[in-house]
Amino acid sequence: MGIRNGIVIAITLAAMLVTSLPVTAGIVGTERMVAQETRSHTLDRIDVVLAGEAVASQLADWGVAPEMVRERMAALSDAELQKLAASMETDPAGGVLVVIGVVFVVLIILELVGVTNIFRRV
Amino acid sequence: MTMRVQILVLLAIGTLALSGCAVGPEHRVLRAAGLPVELVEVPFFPQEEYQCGPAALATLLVHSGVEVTPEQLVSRVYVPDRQGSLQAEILAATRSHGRVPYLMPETLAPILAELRAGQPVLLLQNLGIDRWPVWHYAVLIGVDPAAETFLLRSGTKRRLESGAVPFLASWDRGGRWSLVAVAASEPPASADVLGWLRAVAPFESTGHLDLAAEGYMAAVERWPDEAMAWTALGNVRYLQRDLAAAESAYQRALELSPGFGPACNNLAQTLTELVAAGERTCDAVDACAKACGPRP
Repeated sequence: MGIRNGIVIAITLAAMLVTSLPVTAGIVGTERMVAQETRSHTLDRIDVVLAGEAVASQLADWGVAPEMVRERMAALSDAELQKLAASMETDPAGGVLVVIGVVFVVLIILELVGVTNIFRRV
Repeated sequence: MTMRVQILVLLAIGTLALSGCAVGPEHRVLRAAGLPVELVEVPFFPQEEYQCGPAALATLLVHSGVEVTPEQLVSRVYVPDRQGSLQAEILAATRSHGRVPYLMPETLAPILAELRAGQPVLLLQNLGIDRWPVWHYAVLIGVDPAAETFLLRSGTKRRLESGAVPFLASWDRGGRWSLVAVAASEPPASADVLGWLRAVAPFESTGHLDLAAEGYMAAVERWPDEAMAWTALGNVRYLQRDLAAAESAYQRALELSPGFGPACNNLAQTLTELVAAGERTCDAVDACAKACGPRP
């Protein structure tokens, strides 16, 4: 246990050192900047949907904490995030099945962030 | 019903709803699109066997003022083994002819906006079905909302009238992939700043700095309040070794968006080099570090 704690502390310290050193290896190119910005825009778009009343209450009904969804989203690749955001913006209800629309959006969220297996325990 | 069964049923219903009206909203966009438009001056290159990619791309490039023929493009974008062209090659060939390939969003409204602005749109269609795709590139040159038709330069047809439903479905099955080709100094009418920078940035990464600079100059002109556009301009000035111009572009970015990470980082780098060259004092670097705060 002591050794494991030591390793954790060492890794944390190393990570802090690396990130706090001034960057001298040149500039952040535009392609990288755009990729980073695209990701944070996508996360914002998803956040808006997650925070929506209907989606939030459906998540709560199924006992899924929005924080947990956000945590898992952080692990998704850029492409997976794009897919998630895009599927949330299409309107699967087509104006007819509004309730199923919300449920469907929530299911897409859960499927993509990999928490659907939570239901197998119910 | 257990919750799991409920979910499966809901999923099934949702899937049916999705597949039934995937392009329904786009159809409504078309009906509300107003007067018909047709870009009659767009050139036409009847394709040879399987070579719709080179023909469609030549149509776009010639329209944007590049002198090129489909034959000249065949070696660049035609993959004989696949009897077709790959999307990545279409993008690369557009760039190698000095034009910016701007990928359109996956919705119809901006595509119609481009037509209205006089811009033909190259798009990928799947004329088959998902399981047995038949890929085809065509150029959208017009639309008639009242008649619900789209007008295409397609294959051997100079003016193909395609009904809205089959056309939208083929575009949807093709992954809603479409692009316009424009000069670096002219962002498309419907462009947003992130999309435009994404389209221009490969010129920067591949060392075509003049074209990148032209594209970023156009960006700060069109979106003068966007820190990202100014940062991109700073980047190309830095790479062109015009460090003073890079410095002022990054500073403009930071005025607009204090603490914006890439601008902070790149300004610090630029100032460090200016100090090393004896053109700035260390105070400038300190002031920059203070303005940007500790690095994340």
